[in-house]
Amino acid sequence: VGDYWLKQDDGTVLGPLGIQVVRDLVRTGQLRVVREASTSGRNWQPLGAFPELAAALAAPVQARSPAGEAAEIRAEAASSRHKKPHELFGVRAGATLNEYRAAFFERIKRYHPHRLHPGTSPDVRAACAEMYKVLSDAMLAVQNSGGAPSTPPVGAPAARPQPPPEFKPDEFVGLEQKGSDRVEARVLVGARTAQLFTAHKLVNVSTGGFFIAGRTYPLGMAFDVTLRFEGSPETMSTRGKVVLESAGTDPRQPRGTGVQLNLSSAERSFLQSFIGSVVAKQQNKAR
Amino acid sequence: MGKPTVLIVDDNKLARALLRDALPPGGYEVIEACDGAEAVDCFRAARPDVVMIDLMMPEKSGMEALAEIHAIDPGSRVLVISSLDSESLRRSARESGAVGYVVKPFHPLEIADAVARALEPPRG
Repeated sequence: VGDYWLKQDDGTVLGPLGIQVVRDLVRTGQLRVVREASTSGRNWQPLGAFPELAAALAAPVQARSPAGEAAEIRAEAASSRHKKPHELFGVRAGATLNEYRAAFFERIKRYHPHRLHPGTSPDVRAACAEMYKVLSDAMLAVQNSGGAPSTPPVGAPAARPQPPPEFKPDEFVGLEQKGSDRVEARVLVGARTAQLFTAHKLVNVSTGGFFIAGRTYPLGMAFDVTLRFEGSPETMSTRGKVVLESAGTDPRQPRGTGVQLNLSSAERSFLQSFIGSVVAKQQNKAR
Repeated sequence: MGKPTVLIVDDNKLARALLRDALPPGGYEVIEACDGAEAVDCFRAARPDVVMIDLMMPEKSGMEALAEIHAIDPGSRVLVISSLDSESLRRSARESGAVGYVVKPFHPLEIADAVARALEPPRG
């Protein structure tokens, strides 16, 4: 038996995957809870029917030696310091600034302090910080050299960006960073905060997220979110993740952070209906 | 010559919107599919120039759809866009026919660059 299909607790299917791929994903804590498996993608059975797979899924997260991993990253940082930027980022010589940026964003994901697994050892964190600095310094050098021309997005409108909506965070949106990898967000959902869920064209209540204008957090940052609802006893506590980080340099995007919420369909439905009623009241009032 | 067509495959509506938005405006025709089975049907019907596909989806996985698309057209250019990342998984995706791999969450420039690279003629 070589390849497995896995059905996770959210109903999504992954596979076919070799057993080593499964081990790697388990070791790095990337798999959700797996309920059933299959060797055909069709006939699903409980995990007990596949002892090799069940053992792989039961293995602990981060079984890899932190010292070995840190040494590997430090060695990569040391060798990277001597590389030319285009070699370091794997782009062609004479690449545009945007090509460098794209490669930079791809490379830093593995090392960014906010993207590391919460259980990452201090030694690995320190090694990642070294590598992160090497990549950041190289990117800065590329930008400062001015040699590689920046290519503006094709067809980007020349119009000035719309000013982002203003909120007073201490009044009804509480944002507090907890350690290096989490933000706690408390939102009183109502007339004053409806814009969080409606103002952004992509990250909004219809797509299961909200957009915090004017504040930026890095892509992938975890959010612990508590939503309270004005005039309702309902409260929702859920997790979220930054899926859009906009520094305001793209004229099509206001500066801020887009967070996708991990909501059940019932929660999403309640939120949509609540926001819908708030917006309807505001429209009626405006008439 | 018309604009290149990009097929975006993800069961998550927001992910599809972010991928669509990451493409240069007016640069591509964009079509969408919500799962692996729909992706294969869309590929057969529209023969897009580039496919961006998630790996974890209901019913038919992205990896399975990727292999089917590659079997339909071995020259297809499919980019995997996934929150999962490991060297062995990337290798599996390449072996199934993927020409690129972008990890979620992504910066829009990563997507624009990956699609542009996928459209480049093969070297050598």
